[in-house]
Amino acid sequence: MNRSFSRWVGFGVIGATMLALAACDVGKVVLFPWVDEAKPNAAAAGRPAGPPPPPPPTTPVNPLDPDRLPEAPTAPNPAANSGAPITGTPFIDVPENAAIPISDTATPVSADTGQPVKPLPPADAPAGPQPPGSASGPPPPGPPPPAKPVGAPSFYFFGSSVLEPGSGVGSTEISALAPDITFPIKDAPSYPQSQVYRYGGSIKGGDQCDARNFSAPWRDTYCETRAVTAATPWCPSKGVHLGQDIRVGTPAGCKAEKAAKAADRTRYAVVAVEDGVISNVGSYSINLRASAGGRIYRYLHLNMAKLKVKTAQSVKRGEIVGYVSNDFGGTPTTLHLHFEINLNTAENGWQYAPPYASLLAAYQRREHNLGEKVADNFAVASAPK
Amino acid sequence: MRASLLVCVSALAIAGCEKAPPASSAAGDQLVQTASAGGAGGPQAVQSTIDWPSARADRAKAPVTDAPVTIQSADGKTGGLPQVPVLLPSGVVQTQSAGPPALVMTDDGYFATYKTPKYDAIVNGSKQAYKTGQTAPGNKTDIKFTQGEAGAQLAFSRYGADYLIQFECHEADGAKSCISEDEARAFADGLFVQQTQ
Repeated sequence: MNRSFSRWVGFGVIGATMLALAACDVGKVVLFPWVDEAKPNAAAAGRPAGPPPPPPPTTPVNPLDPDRLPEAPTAPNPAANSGAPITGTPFIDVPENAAIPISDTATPVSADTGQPVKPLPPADAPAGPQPPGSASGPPPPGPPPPAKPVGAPSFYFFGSSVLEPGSGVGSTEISALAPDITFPIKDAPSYPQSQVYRYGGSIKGGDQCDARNFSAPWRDTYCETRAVTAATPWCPSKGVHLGQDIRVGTPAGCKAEKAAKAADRTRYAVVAVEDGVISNVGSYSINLRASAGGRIYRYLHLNMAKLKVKTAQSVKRGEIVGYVSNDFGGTPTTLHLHFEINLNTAENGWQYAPPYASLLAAYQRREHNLGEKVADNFAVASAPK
Repeated sequence: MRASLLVCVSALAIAGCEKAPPASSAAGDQLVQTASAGGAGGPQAVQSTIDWPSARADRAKAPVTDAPVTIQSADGKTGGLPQVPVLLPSGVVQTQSAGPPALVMTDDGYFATYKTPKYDAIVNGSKQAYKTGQTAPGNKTDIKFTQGEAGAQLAFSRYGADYLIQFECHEADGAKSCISEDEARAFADGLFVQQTQ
């Protein structure tokens, strides 16, 4: 009788354990080793994951330039690159002027801790995992790159209205006036910064593809000093830029685009920042009028020969409208997007609005990363006496 | 005792398989913060009250525009009553290759696009505005000229609606714009009320 009772207790213990284990994930492994555990979260959890099987090819890939986006139908623009040489808008080509102050001579410090921030990985290094569908072109072969540590900043930024040293006085408005826009660059790393006062610009000179341009903290350029007499209630002085310049991609991508024919530049896609209608396609600008009303966005220097939109066409938020280039007629400029917000204010009517804070919020959403603000006195400390 | 053993083994098994928090939860928290930071504090939208009787009175005095216009709504459907008085220029000489100007009705107003030899002109009208808290409100009916990157614009208000004329230069030449303030104001002087409710 005792032996029989012990046998039943033994069965009971084994049965209860199996039931309990089977009810959880661990149980699947212990009891059913032939069942493959789902692995989507492995990379996000920082665990090494095996290489996924290669997806079936859906779009043709140029083996010599796999990062390049495949060609897609474009809207012909007879006025594209108007006034430019046949080779496209020239680049600025002046030697670097060491006497021009630039903020890269010291390591930026965190606005929160006052400590020097850690250097970001080189811009040409493989990035962390991207959300599905956000990568430029098909994923490269081989195992996915290691996951980013959750919470680590993927970019640094100065606060709104903090300009490059010697480039002007910042805006009096620091809040996001169009806070819900989508970031205008589809998925490439982006560096809002001066195109005039940094490497490769007409004032600083040097090479626009200099790696230091692709690791610098973000900089506001709305009130940056320009030769034109533009004025806005939001800038303390006249002769200002009125838009935000955004450098895009990596040093290697910059060099490849610089070497490419102007009409062939399709590496970095530009998207509609909200639903709307294209109100004009100019020689090197497009205008997007928001469906929500009271806002008009202006994009400059796209590859005007490869636009995806035409005048009066409706677009959806996130829809590709074109590609980053340097189209500016015969006036030399760098590869970048110049982005403006025209806001109809209840107080003064239509005005060029400061876009920096809105772009920062949009990039934080795109990157799923808040970045890290660096201290404003960094610029002052690095300015020459 | 054996019963206790049974309970203990089962409890241990269950405790050992308690699920860890999903790895993406921290990123999810960031998303919530970001959305909050980005969505909060935006300017409050307001809609203007339109003085339609004045607009209709002025329309009766307006000349007919020289060029035909394509009328369509933003969703591609033709027609629809304008949300603001439609001001259009008269006597604009378009480039030969340009088709008829595009006049597009939107939920807040309209825009019309003209192609001239030196620049594109986009005439925008809107009844939607945003309170930005600017401390020195100006006279909105004054015509304000602003020169910008490769273009210029004029902003003013009429009949309670806000208008913006954008000039997009075909050729940029450093500090020299393709359109002077006088030329821009002359363009605005040629605007007439072409449609009302």
